[in-house]
Amino acid sequence: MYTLAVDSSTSLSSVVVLENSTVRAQLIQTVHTTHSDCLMPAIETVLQCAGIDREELDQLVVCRGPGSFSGLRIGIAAMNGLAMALKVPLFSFVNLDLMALQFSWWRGVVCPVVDARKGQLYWALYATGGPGSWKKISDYAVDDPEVVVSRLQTADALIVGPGVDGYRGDLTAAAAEPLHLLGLPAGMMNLALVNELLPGADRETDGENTDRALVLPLYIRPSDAEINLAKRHAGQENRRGQ
Amino acid sequence: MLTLAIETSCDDTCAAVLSRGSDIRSNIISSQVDIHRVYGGVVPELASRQHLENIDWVVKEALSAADVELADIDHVCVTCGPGLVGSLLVGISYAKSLSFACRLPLVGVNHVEGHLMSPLLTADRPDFPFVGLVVSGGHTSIYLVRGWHDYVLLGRTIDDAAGEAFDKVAKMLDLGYPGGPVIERLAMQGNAEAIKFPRAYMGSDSLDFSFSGLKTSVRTFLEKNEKLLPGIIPDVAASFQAAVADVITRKALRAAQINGINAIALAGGVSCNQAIRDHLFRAASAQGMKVHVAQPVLCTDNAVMIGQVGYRLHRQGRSDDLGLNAFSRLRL
Repeated sequence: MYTLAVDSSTSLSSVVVLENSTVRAQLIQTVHTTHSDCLMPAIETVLQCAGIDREELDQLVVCRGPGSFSGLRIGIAAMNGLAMALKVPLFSFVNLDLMALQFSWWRGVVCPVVDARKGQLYWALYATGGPGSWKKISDYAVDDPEVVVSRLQTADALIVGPGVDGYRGDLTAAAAEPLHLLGLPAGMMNLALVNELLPGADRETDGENTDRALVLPLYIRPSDAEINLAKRHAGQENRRGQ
Repeated sequence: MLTLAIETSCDDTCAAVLSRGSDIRSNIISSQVDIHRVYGGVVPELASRQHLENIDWVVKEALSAADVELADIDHVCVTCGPGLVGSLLVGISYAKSLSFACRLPLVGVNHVEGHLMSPLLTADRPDFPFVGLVVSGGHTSIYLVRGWHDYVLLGRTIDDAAGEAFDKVAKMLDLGYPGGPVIERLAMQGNAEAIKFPRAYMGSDSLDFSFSGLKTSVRTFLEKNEKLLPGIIPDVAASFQAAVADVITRKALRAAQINGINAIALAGGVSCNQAIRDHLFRAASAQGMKVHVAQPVLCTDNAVMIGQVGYRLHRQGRSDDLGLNAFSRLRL
């Protein structure tokens, strides 16, 4: 069983070919311009290194977010196209879930974070009870670091992910007690674990490639235009109310 | 030789299949106008989001309407600029993955070149050389077209595109978005000579365009004549449209005269405007010139025009690699 998995949700591009749950080849690179430059060449290279032809792939997996809107669209558009052309199923995963799984050895609460720009973090809370045991206990959300800290529920929570390093100061300042913070380069998200996420709640398709559901990004944050329009409407409602 | 073409440079998700570069086997266009109307213009982030939702079914529909399978396709063409980068990237990423999966040659195509050559998709096609005008919401340029991929830029807008001026004036008149069709409709009830809006010719031999002064003049007029609204709207629409038509016509004819050419090809979304077409047709014919325009569905954004150009580039040996990127600005 050969799987091609791709994550383009952050400023790192990560491509892996798995044979069952074993990595055959993986390429992680910093994206200097856009994911568009490097994603397809990376897929070509990784398949070569893995000694696999594209036609031999059994399934595809792509990160649907949250993260860079443009990066997500590049990865998802490419994988939707590959799935259509190769006639193989496409599954998706949420990077926050992957990190919860990766850090499920932490007993208590894990809060993975991804930089959402504008001084905010994408985050969710998971109850973890040892390796492989994890359960999401909040919605996926985007908030200021202070808000994330206020929702942790326990002083023993582990805040982990590529969002930690840029917000270490804000997170620490917002907490009354010392926090467990673990910065994690995006490329260190363990894509080799994606197969363990697939049978779960986030399974996007039933595996039938004929009427496969389209994978779309988990944006969480609406576009600025939608936010501004909602504000304008709210303003009009208020004026009407007065 | 079957071409699959994809175009996502602005707010229409388009895919088409062509046989031998000109025989249109399918032409699928998914418009997003209903999504952007509430914002009074195209919102780039929303356009990108919508392209991603549409691209898969639009391409499948193009294949199915052409009654072909992906395996029958010989090469993939995609718009790589100019346009909204986020929008372009969806089409490019999808096209690259099809090209990689099926081992098909990939050809990146310039959107403006697609428009410029779209009059060649009609039965009444112009012979080379001709003067080509691309007049749309994003572009207003005039070229000497000497042959395939052999163009000389003769003039272009120094500020707003003509279609952009239509949208902005429609916004001033509170007519909604997009401005072109609604202004054209109201103009039919108005007097085109009621208000003398300025025409920016910028010297008798200049082939550049400027619509910003015209737009300001409409705004000033509306501010001064607020009491006459809304009754005067049809006259404003007709007079504004006549000013645009005059400028486009005069520049097109002048370009043809300067270059000793009697064929003019009009392309881009604004060429759907019947009043502008008629004005140019009449003036050209009075001077013994002929105007060629594609049918309206090929004037606005579409993938057929991209496939036509991509097919020619492919035959010339052009092929792009998987690193193909999007360009917001791309000179022709």
